Amino acid sequence: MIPPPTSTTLITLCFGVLIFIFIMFLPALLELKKPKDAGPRMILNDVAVLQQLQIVQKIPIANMEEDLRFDQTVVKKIANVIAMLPNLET
Amino acid sequence: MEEDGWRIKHLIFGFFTGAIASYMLLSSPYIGNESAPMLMIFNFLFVSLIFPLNGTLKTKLSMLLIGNVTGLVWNNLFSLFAYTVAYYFGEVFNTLYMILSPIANLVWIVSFWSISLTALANSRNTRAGVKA
Amino acid sequence: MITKLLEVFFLILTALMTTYLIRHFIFTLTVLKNAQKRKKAVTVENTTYQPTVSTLIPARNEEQVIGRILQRMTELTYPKDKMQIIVIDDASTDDTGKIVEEYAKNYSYIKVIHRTSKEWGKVKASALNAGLKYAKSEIVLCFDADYYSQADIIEKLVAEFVDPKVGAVQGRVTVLNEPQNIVTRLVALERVGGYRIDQQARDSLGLIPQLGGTAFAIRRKLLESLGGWDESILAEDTDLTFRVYLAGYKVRYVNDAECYEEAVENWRAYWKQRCRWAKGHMQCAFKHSLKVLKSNNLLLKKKIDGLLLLNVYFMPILIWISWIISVLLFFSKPPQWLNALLTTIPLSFYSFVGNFAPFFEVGMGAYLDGRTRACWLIPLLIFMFLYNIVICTKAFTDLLTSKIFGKHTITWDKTVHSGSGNSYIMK
Repeated sequence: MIPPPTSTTLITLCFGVLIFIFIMFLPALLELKKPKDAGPRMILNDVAVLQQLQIVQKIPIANMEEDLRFDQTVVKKIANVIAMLPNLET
Repeated sequence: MEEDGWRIKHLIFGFFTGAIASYMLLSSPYIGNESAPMLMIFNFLFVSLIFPLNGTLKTKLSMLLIGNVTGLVWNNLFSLFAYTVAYYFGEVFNTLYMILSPIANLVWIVSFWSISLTALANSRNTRAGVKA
Repeated sequence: MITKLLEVFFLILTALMTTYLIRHFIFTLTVLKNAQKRKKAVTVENTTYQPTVSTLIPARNEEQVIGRILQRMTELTYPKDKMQIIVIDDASTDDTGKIVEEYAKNYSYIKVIHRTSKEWGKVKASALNAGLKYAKSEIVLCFDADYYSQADIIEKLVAEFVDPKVGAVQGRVTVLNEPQNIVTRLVALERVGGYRIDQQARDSLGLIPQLGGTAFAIRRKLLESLGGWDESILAEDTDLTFRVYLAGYKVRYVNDAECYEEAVENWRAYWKQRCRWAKGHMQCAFKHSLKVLKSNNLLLKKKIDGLLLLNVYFMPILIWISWIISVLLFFSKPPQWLNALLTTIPLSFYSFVGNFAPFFEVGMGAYLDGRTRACWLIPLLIFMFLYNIVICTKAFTDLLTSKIFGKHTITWDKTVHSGSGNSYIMK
């Protein structure tokens, strides 16, 4: 048999539920406030295509697709090199 | 084929652990009517979708355990809250509880699941040499 | 008696929602399983099949973005002698026409059609049909003015047409202005679930991948034989998808053929866009559901998937109905078995989070895309879902009102593009 709850229990539980819900949404709020993965996601193969065309363009994204098994370290180095070069399109 | 071997092993371990956890939850007298199915759903989704991903078995099993504990804490907290508030406010709260419980019951699953996924994605990207 | 009826109705709704949930679970597992396999991607070097391609770009007051897509069209790797670009300036009142004229002067393969305010059909389908009259190529490609494609997207899309049974091919859409605010970030997550998992799985399982209205290619002869786009339907893309299937052809989805889009930037614009999609989809459901069931060109699995796809925008309405019923049943002291079923309602709710993709589908798509902390935003999709319930209900009542009273309440609310995505491409 559960004893009848007191008003202190009620207040504590209200706070408990609110805090729990806050904690559940905390990661989302953190990512909104200080984004570490805000995108946009880099569309596939664009780095490779840009190399082929010798068009130098800075794309400020670094998410690559696992499917194609891109060697991401190489891609990162290439992206760094591309970023250093002057923009030929402007 | 060699590469897929560990995924199957992880899945088998995961389902085995999930089954034990679900059995313990169902046979426990301290668990509410709604909590048990929610935790079973969590275990099933978590094992079937998280365990085949890249990452160590130890990490995945730890996450599964933490998830079950989080779910238990939330469901007991919410049940106690519902009981207490209904004691003071009666039927009005019961209606509110029924309207809100579908959302409240699964909030923790979504949050926990998304954080676990990020942890695995981070470890994968770090191993691949890319910072998120 | 009423309680019994409610119980039966509730059971039917639960079964329906669980069906959708299982479908999404199968989709997620399928993509996850296939993600481990290596596949050979189509590149500029290994392309052998190069049909002629006419690209249609409808544009109404798109001065902020039209230059960006036209510039990109000139950078495509596809042979220019096999390309024809037709921009339909749909009675623009800004500088869209002038910008396109400028490009048309410099590039012979770019053509512009100016439509006057009298010719303006108020729907995108009307502009596309106007452009189709000038298309001379084997394949017709469609882009919205706010899009920005991969340089080799045409090679990737047309490669699928080697199979004569393929009538149309859809590419992937990624949100360009994702970092802008909470709306764009959540829309980006919806897109990940919708394309990376949903479309990909439907293609892998031989079901019905859907044409998205942009970044897609279709055989010109097939399109002409179908009579072009249906101007009375707001979701002309979904309508076309089903007409292609009913004609005995299939649609393929190519995940590697990617394109950026500028997503809606605020809740109001989101409302307008989704309301239009919902109305259009419901129109298609009324138009095609029976035809899909009766069709001899569709396998049973395609019929089931087609029906689920056509009726997906009714589900948010059925969800709130079942939500209310569950509350009523709770107070009528239901039997134990029904009490247990009440717990499946939240599960089903989450199967429709965001743009009708459950949280695990969105999360898995983001994971496969190599995303990390973007997943943390998934719990916020619950607000998008609640918003979608209101949107779909409004769309349904509008549609019903227009059917019953014969009032023409179906109007095309065009999405305004601010060009905010430019900063993520041009430096």
